[in-house]
Amino acid sequence: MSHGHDIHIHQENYKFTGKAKTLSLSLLVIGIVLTVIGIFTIPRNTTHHNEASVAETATHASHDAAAAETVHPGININGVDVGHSDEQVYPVKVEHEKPWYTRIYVNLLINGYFLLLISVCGLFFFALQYIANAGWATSILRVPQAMSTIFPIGAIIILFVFLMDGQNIYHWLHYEHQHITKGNPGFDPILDNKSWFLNSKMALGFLIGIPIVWFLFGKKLRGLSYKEDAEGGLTFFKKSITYGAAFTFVFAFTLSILSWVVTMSVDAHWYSTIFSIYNFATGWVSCLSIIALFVLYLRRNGYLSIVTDEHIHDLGKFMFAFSIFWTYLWLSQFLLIWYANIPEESVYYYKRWEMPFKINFFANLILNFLVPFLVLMTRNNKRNPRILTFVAIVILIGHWNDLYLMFMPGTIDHQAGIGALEIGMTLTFAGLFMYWVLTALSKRGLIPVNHPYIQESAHHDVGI
Amino acid sequence: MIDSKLYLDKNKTVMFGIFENSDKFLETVAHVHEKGASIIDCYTPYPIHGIEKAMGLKRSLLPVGAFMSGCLGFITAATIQLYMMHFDWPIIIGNKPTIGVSFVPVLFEMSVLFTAFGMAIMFFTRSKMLHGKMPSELVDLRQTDDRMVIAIATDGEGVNKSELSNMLINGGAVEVKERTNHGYDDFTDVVIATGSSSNNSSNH
Repeated sequence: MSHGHDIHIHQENYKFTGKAKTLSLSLLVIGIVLTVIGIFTIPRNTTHHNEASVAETATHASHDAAAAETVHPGININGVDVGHSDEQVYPVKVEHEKPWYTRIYVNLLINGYFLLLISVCGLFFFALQYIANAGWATSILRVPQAMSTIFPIGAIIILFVFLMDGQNIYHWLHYEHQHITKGNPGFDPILDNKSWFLNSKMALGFLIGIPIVWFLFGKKLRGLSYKEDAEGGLTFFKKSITYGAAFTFVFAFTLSILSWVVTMSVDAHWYSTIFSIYNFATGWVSCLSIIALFVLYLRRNGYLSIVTDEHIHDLGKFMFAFSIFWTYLWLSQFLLIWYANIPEESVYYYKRWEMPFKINFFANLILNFLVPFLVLMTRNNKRNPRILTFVAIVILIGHWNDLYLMFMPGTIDHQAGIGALEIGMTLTFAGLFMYWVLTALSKRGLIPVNHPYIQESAHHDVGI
Repeated sequence: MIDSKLYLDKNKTVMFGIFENSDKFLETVAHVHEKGASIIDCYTPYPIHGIEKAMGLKRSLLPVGAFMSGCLGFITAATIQLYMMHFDWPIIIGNKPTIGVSFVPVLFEMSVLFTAFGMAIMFFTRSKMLHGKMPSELVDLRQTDDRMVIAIATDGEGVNKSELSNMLINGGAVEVKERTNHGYDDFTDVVIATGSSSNNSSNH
């Protein structure tokens, strides 16, 4: 029995070589090759004027469509005449062709946003351990810490997509550029009402400002942890609690705003009050799965000697619990809209209920709820590295699919599909993420040796 | 504290080792278990990590019971809703089908409710913690404050009581008692040995 005795803590230095390096680089290469194949094989639309410049083409096409989009009330909804009014004109978003390259940008957006979510949730995990005074995760703390270094990449990609193809992805942005005033054809009262928030200046401000705030917090928190390694003492720990609490507070608001701007505004007419916490759940459970994958990988290669099955068990419990949490939020959003059946709300699910998204819709529930719920229910499965790896990968695929369902129907709709482009782009990002995080891990010691809770973590025991 | 072997069985003998240091206690418990003595239970004022392994306790079947209660709740909720909402008195609400997603909240809540109650009932039954039925004297008055007690059954075959007593004293017990049961709530305690007290410091 080692209880009551100090476990010797020694620093470990991870070397990023061998299989992991090969795997991440080959994922990157295969991903890029598939992406290129995908770019050349996705269907080109030929309906637009070829002589016009790309941006103009998009504007023209959408403008024509916008004119055709206005529908006079008085139409039948489910066989019921909803009345007729000459004064108001409700614009209804009608499917129209988007340029073929929008699919590439939406894919970039999905993966960039996924990267950003996972990475910033890593930072949140890191901060959470301080403010919750939790000791168990101290020995694996360097993994979320390394994950939190990558989100500037995600933020830059989102910004890039917003600047390059925002007009085709966000129809509120397109609407803003049309400058339609009240009383003119094509006027959209809903978008007009939201324009104080959903406008390009605010969006750019959030897309640039929020990641900078996160970046500064991440830099500060990581810096404190590294200084603690070198100098020891309680001061850094106490400061980390303060900064961790401040970050958590800021994170709750900023992630909400970012999820509105980046994700929810894809369907700008629609809104859901639970949307930002739902986005957080998606990022958080994916983040936990990735932490589990990295910890399992490091352990298998002989690192993290003080991490035991108990820590793995706790990560498994986290994945299990937050899969259920995600499902709870998913259902809360779906059930109310399904029951109330208000057209402006249910249109969101109506689109996702139809092919080609119907498969994704049900895959979402199977991958993100049924598999983790049923497989991770028993204790032995949570402690089994193979099963946990399997479930973690299923969860990651499932939440990618979740984001796919958030973005695709509102942007390119019937032009969407999962082909070489989607798979390739995701593999590229997976390879990039692996390479980046493992490089970040190899730069610093793997164990926060001077953390006041490191002994507690080494002794962590969840009982039988 | 309410253990049938301690209070109910007639003509049973039980040895108590009373400790003040939890580290020493844990080591001694593991040692006693390794020697093959049958440990009835350990009584501690606060949870001691690793004591289940030291005592050689098997994993509880409570999670299995919880799962089964949950399933029972799920089936109950499904049956109730199917019968009420679909067969007995179908009410069309908002043009929704009588079997649908609207079942989910009730399914969820009933599963949780049944699991919680099932677990509580099973736990209290299995640990014989039915209040008001059993005597609840403490083995040692400070047992709920700062002392830990290990209870070992000593009436089996081939138990060397003096060896066991020495093992407890050498392991750091402040007192070793033996109890003989005569019947329900009727017993005599005899102090066999006392060890050195006031050794509360951690043995780093």
